[in-house]
Amino acid sequence: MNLKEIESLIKFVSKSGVSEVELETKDVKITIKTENGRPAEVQSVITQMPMQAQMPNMQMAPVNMGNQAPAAPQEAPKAEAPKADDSKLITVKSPMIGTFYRSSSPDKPAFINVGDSIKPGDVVCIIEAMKLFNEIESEISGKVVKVLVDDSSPVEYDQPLFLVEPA
Amino acid sequence: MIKQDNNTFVGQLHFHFSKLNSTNKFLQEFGDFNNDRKSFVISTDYQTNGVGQRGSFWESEPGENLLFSMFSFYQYLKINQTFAINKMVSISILTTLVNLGIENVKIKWPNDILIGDEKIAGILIENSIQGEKVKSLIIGIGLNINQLKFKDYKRKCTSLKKVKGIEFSRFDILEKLKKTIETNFSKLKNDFTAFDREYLENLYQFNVWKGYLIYNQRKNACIKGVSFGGDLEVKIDSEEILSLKNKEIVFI
Repeated sequence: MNLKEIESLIKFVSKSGVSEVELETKDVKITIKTENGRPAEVQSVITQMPMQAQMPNMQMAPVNMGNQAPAAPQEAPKAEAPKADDSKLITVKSPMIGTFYRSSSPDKPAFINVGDSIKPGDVVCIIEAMKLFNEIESEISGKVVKVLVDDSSPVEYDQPLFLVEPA
Repeated sequence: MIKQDNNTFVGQLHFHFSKLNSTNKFLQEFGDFNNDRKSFVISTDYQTNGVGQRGSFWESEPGENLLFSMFSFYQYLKINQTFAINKMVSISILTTLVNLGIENVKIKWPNDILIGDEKIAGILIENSIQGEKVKSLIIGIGLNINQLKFKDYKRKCTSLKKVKGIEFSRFDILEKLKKTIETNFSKLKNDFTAFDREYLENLYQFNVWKGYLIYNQRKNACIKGVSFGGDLEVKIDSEEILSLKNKEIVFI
C-alpha cells in the first residue's frame, strides 16, 4: 500500500464521516478513528428551484387585432415560438428497459428537479431491471426543463426521460 | 485508456468497518473519490441501514454475518451484460457453499441464494451508467454465517452455522468468495454466456410446476429458463412461454 492510497483513504474517511476504519492488507494493518464521527450518511442538499415557466414566449403570439369576426380563421401562430425553443432542448433517453426512479430511496429527495443545473457525471435517475439497480449519469451540461416520466413507472429502451436546455 | 494490469476485478484492498450505514450506499458516496479506479472490497460487522431491494431491510446481528460490497471496474462491460454478472456472482456464492460441504444450495431468481427453501444469501448489484457505458459496478453480498436466530419473514432464513452446527470464520469465507469471483470473472469476460447452463442447473424450482403470483393472479407455472437480459421464462398451463420481469412474478 503506497502513500497515495493511504492519503485517499484518509480523505475518504474524513469526507464520509465514518468514525472508525480498520484496514488490513498483506503487509499492513491500519485502524483510523476520527474524533467526532459525523453521521455516516452525507446527504447532499438539493435546492428546489422555483418552478420555472417552461415556455416563456407562450403569451406573445396572437396579438389581438380589435374586434375580429370570431369566425375568421386564424393561422394558429401560437405554436411557432415555443417550437423554436424546443428544438434547442436535448432529450435524455433511457438506456434500458426497466423501472424509473427519481431518487435513491422513497424517503430521499429526487436526484434532479426542474430548474436544476446538471453536468456530466451527475446522477439523474435510477433504472431498475431484474433487481439490478442502475444509476444513470448525465452526459451533458445544462438546465433541467422537464421531467417526462413519473417516479416508479416502467420505461422502455430509448424512451425520453428528461428535457434539458444545454448550457 | 485506463490500464487494468494491476487491477483485478475484485481488487487487492480490503477495508473493514465496525459499523456502516450500508456497504453499497457507502461505495456509492465514495465513487467520485476513487479517481484511480481501483477495485476493492469493503466489509462491515454491522449495517445500520442495510438495503435489500429498494428500502427492504437486510437484517443481521452485529459481527455474525458476512456483509460486504465490491467496487469493481471493467471498462468493456455493456449494459445488456450486467445480468450475466449477476449469474456469475450467484454461481460463485453457490460454488463456495458447495465446497464447504453444504448440500441442496439453490439460486432463487433473481438475486437470492437458498439452502432448501431457506435464504442464506442475497445479492444487490448497483451499476453506474453513462451513455452506453457501465462505469462501475457495486456488488453487494450478504451471507449469513454464524447467526442462529432470525426474525420471522415471509421466507425463512438460515446460516452456515445453523446448517453445519459449527462456527465459521467470516473472513476465511470472504477470501474464498473473492478468489472464486475473480476466477469466474475471467471466464465470463471471454464468454458472457459461460455460466448460463450452470445457473439453470442450480435454479430454484426450475422445471417444476409450482404456484406463483403472476400479474397478481395465482397461477400454476413452470420455470423454463432465464433470458440473457435476466427475464424469467415460465410456462403456464399449456400456453406459450411468458417472459417475466421481477415485479410480474412472485414466488409463493
